[in-house]
Amino acid sequence: MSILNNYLLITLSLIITSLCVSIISFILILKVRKLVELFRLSLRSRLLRSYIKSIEVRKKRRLRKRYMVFEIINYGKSLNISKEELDTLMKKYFKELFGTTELSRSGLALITIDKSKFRGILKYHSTYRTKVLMTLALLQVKEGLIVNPLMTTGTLRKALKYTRIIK
Amino acid sequence: MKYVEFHVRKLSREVMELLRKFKYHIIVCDDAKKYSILNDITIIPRVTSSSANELKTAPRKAIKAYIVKSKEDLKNYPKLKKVANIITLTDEALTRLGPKSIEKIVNLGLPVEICVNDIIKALEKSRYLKGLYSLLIYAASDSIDLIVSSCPTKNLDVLHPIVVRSILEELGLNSIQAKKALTQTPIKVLRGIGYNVYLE
Repeated sequence: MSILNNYLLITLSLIITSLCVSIISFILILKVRKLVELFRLSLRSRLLRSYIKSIEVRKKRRLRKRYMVFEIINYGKSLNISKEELDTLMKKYFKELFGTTELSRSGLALITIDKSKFRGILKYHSTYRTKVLMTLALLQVKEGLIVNPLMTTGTLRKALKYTRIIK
Repeated sequence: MKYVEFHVRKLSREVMELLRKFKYHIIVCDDAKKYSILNDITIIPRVTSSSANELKTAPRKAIKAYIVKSKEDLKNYPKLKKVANIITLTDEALTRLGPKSIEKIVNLGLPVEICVNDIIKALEKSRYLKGLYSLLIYAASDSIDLIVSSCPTKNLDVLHPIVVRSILEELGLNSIQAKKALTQTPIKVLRGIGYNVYLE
């Protein structure tokens, strides 16, 4: 009789412990689930997403400089425009088309101009290539300066070599 | 890379020289009366008019361009496909034409030509180019063949093909579509008429 009682007690205690364990585990799962959901939501949040995107963009967009060698077609006439004047004209029309912010970001600058060969070098950031070329079109239409873009390089040395004005 | 200038209004010696310098290989000219090759440049005749009857009487081997200025020019809409090879949009059309008129032009299935100089002048005056922007939506989705030319009458109007391409890219087309507007599409039109032309 006593053995039977003992068995019953053991089984009862086992059932109770298993129930307790299951309830605790259920509560724990619920808590963890909530935590996981919170973590997922935080990952989805717009702020975090934009931050991750900005990091990716920063990695991708390393603004590289480009040097464009151009030629001014003047039909044998002497070029009566100084480097400063041409530089200000280009910046003026760029600003007219795309605004001040874009102008400062583009890094547009006239490096040199060789009046005897009617050639010059223009510096800008690589992503602004189309905008710079569009400015050249406006310069041609408004000022009558026909600019022929000859080549684009990544280094000033190569650009100078092409224009053959290395001192 | 060689390009096609699809609309030269007036061909002078200076314009020709500049076109050669800018690597244009084929030019289609209003002034020319017959097919010729001059200084390695192929010259092809063209008739540009806003009347369908005039285009009917044009020489067989000339390119027939129908000018559209406003939506009233699209009244002979079903006839146009038989008469014209391309449709040219003027600066007025680029600003005035609404999406419905543009849709009509697109449904015709003919290539559409636009002039870059007109676009630059309109941009300079800060005008809203309603027609152009709705046309570019179709061009960006490749549902229309777009031809771009600088339409020069004097040497100052001749634009470098790279400059023309960059303007198109700035307006919203990708680089392939922009290149196509200066090379493949004009060649396709010329071959359709019967010219055996190619670009190296």
